[in-house]
Formats: sequence, structure tokens, C-alpha cells
Amino acid sequence: MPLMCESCGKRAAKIHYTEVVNHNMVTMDLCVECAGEKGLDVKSGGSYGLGDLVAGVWDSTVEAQSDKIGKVRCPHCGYTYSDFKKMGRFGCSECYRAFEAQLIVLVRQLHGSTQHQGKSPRQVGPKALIRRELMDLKEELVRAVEKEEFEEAAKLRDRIKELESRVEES
Amino acid sequence: MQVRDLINRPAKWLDGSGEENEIILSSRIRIARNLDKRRFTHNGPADELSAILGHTRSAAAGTTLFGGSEFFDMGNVSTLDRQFLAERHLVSREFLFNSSNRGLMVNPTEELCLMINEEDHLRIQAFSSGLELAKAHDLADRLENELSGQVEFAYSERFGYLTACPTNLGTGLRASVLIHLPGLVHTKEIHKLLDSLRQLHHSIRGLYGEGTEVMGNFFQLSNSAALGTPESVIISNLREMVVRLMRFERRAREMLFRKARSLLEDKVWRAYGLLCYSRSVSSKEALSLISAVRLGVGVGLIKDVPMKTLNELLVYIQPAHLQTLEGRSMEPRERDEARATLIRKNLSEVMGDQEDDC
Repeated sequence: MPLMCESCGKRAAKIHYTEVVNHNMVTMDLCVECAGEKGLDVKSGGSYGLGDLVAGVWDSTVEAQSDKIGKVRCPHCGYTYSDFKKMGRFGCSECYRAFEAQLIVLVRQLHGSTQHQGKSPRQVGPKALIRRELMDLKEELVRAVEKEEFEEAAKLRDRIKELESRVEES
Repeated sequence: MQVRDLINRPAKWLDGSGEENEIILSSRIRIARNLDKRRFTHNGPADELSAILGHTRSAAAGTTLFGGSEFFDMGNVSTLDRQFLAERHLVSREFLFNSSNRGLMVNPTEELCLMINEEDHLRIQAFSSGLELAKAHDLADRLENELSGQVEFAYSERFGYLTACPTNLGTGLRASVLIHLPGLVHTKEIHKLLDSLRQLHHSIRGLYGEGTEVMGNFFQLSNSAALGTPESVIISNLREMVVRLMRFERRAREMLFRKARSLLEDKVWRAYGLLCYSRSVSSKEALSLISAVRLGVGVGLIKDVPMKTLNELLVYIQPAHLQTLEGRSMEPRERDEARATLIRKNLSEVMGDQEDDC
């Protein structure tokens, strides 16, 4: 069986593409059509980085509005997409929020998925501890009210309010 | 403690005690994390990086898993010592080029370490001998849990844990095994298999990871996608792939043993002879000779050389290790001589043990 294109899975892979970008080796087996779509210059046989590959995906997706996109800046660190293209890395974690809509295509290309599954800080982060404490306190509050221990209930209510405001703060 | 003091205690994951050790040298887990709403390391100003280093260093020092651990501030570590740490797989090549505001915390057995301000703010690594991915993951994951109690990590519901490079998004997990495949290299089946593995979204690299050459028939096999699949599935998929590769490798070794026994024996014993008697050897040649002897031990031709000795040699014959052992900097020619001496010494020690046993 011939090696199939990683991107479309339909045609035989003719382009075996390897590049080292920022110490990351990227290997892709693509058909000529998909390689062309990703902006690889098939004829010249030159080498391209992940940034170029990704940029190809990006450009073909948002070609119509490319002028606007180029000017989008991450409000937190000021990074633009062309900075990412140059560096192969984003400027800060907020860049992912700033460029989220456009990033979907790239993330699918890289991971074959666009929705994270697995561990999350909700299960383990500092706020998870607060959430757990909140649940306990709310149970205690119910019990206190049932037993008509209103002084205790008032204390619990204040503590719950305080914790809830801490959870809401980001 | 100084970096060079690590020379006296080889890392535990080299001891050859793990499952499937004759083919799988080690299992490694890397988890990437970043602090929320901070600039990534390559884009961070010095004062911000310094604050991150200070904060995460004390968070790490307060974890139960880093009890009795050493912290090295890379800004105070010489280039040779950083090379030494890289040869032990404790730091990445990134640390060779950038050292200020970078730090490393490492536990006494070298099974667990944390790089601070690498490409991502935090890179947890756990190592295990043989095919023990779940064990290594458990250790790394426990450290991540402890740290996440003190540090708010950058995370999005859609993209998971956010990393400087989008290739690591999601779980931030890279699981890898260091696998020795001389059988498949000799039967020339290796390239076909590696192509299929790439199609199945796994990456193949050389002995020292990203961007390094394959030497001595040692390959690093790892997951390439980190987003969209839970950690446990990433690990079990890799394990399944490794188990299949091992089956092919065993079949190739049996085939060589059956159909080309005298050639195989000659290759193995010739390599053994060179290691026992040569007076100068380059690191590339030494790796290939050790690889042949390792194959000899694996198929039962050589009985008196423990895997532990061969595994440790793979690290200790590297340039910074040789220079640390000698306590001075050496030219390549001198290193080749020191390397040959070290190998002879280590092999004659195990031979000596054997004679005592008899």
C-alpha cells in the first residue's frame, strides 16, 4: 500500500517534508495537491518551517480578510500573527484568546482535533480547592439552618460569600 | 551541591530494572505548563522571568515530591555543566543557549525534574527504566497536581493548557520511549515501519530528542498530537505502538539468529573486542559498538555484561561526562582516549565480578 497523504488521506503522499524549527522536528507526508494548498513550494524543493506551513493554512482560510487579520493584536502582549509566523511561538497565553477564531484551522492541522480532552485545572487548580470548600460550607449551612443555629449560619453565609467572590475573580 | 557532583550517582532510570529492558531503555513523560496571563519565556522581559523563576522555584521546593532535591540556577552554571545536564536528559538544548533566569530542580534519583523558563514556563519531566510509561506519568502528574495548588496555569476550555508553541497545546503531554532496534535496522525493515508510525501520528527522533541524529540504533518514539485525546489514551496508544514494534524487533532478532547466526555472532563479538581493547574511540563509534553488544546481551550471546553497565556507558561516554570525570576540559582526541579507557575499565569490572562469582 502506498503511503497516503496525512492531510486528505485519499491520495498517495509524494512530498515527504521534514524541517527543524526551534528544535522541533516536523515531519509530514503529503500529496502534491495538499502540499500546494498548505503553501509549500513543491517545485523548488526549498525548506519551509512550521510557521510557513501554518501560515499557508491560515492565509488560504482567511484570504478575503487578510488585511484586517494582519492588524489584529493580542491586547495583552501586543503580538500579531506575523510575529507568530516569524517565531513559531505565541507571545502569551492571551494570544490564544485573541486569535481563537482563526486558530481553529491550525490546531486541527496539528492535532487532528480542536477540543481539548483530559486533565483540567478545574479538577486540581487553586480554585478547585475553593469550590470543594464551598460545597462543604453550603452543606453545613443547610444543617445549621435546620438546627436553627442562626448565629453559626450567618458566619457560614459570610464565608460562602467571600469564597464565591474569590472564585469569580480571575 | 554542584552540578558536577551528580557524576557519582548514575540516574536510576539507567539501572536496567524496568519492564522489557532489553529493547526499551527508558520511558519519559514531559508535561508543559505556563503561568496564566504572563508572556511566554521567549517573549518575557528579564524582571518578569526572574519573578516567575522565584515564584515557581519556591512552589516546587514546597512540594512533597521534591523533598531533598537540588535546585540549579542556570545563570550560575557553566556551559560545560549545562552540557553535562543535557547529556543526562535533565535539561533541553534550549538551556544550552539561554541560561539567565532559567532553573532546574531535580530529585535525588533523577526520576523527576522541573525546568523553569524553558520554551514553556514549566516543563515537568519524569523518567523510568524500561517500558513503564504509566509509572512515569503518575509521578509527573502528581507533581503537576501539587504545583497547580499554588500556581494558576494558563488554560482554555477549548485548547486546554496553553503553550508557547501550538504543537504542545491541550494536555501539554509528550510521552516517549527510548527504544533500541538493531534487529529491524539490520533487516532493513525499519524505514517502512517508521513511515507507518508517522502516519499513525507518532514522531521518531534520535537519542537526544528533537532535531538530533539517530545513532547506535536508538530511537525516541513519542506522541505527536497532544490535544483532543486524554492523557491516559495518549499513553496507552503509545504503549500499544511500542509493544507492536517490540514484537517486530524480536522477530527480526530471531530471524538474524536463525539465518545469519555466524554473521551476527561475529558482529557482536567483534564489537565487544573493540570495546575491551581499543585505546581511542569516538562517541559515534562507541555508540554503535555498545549497540551491537547490547544486541548480543539481548539475544543471549553475551552473558556477563549487565544492561545497567551498557546503559550507563551511553551517558558517561558523552563529552561533558568524560570531562567532568577527568576534572578538566579536553580536546576531542584526548576525549577519544579517555572514552576508550572508561569503557575498558567498566567492562573489565563486570568481567572481574563474573570471575569472582565462578
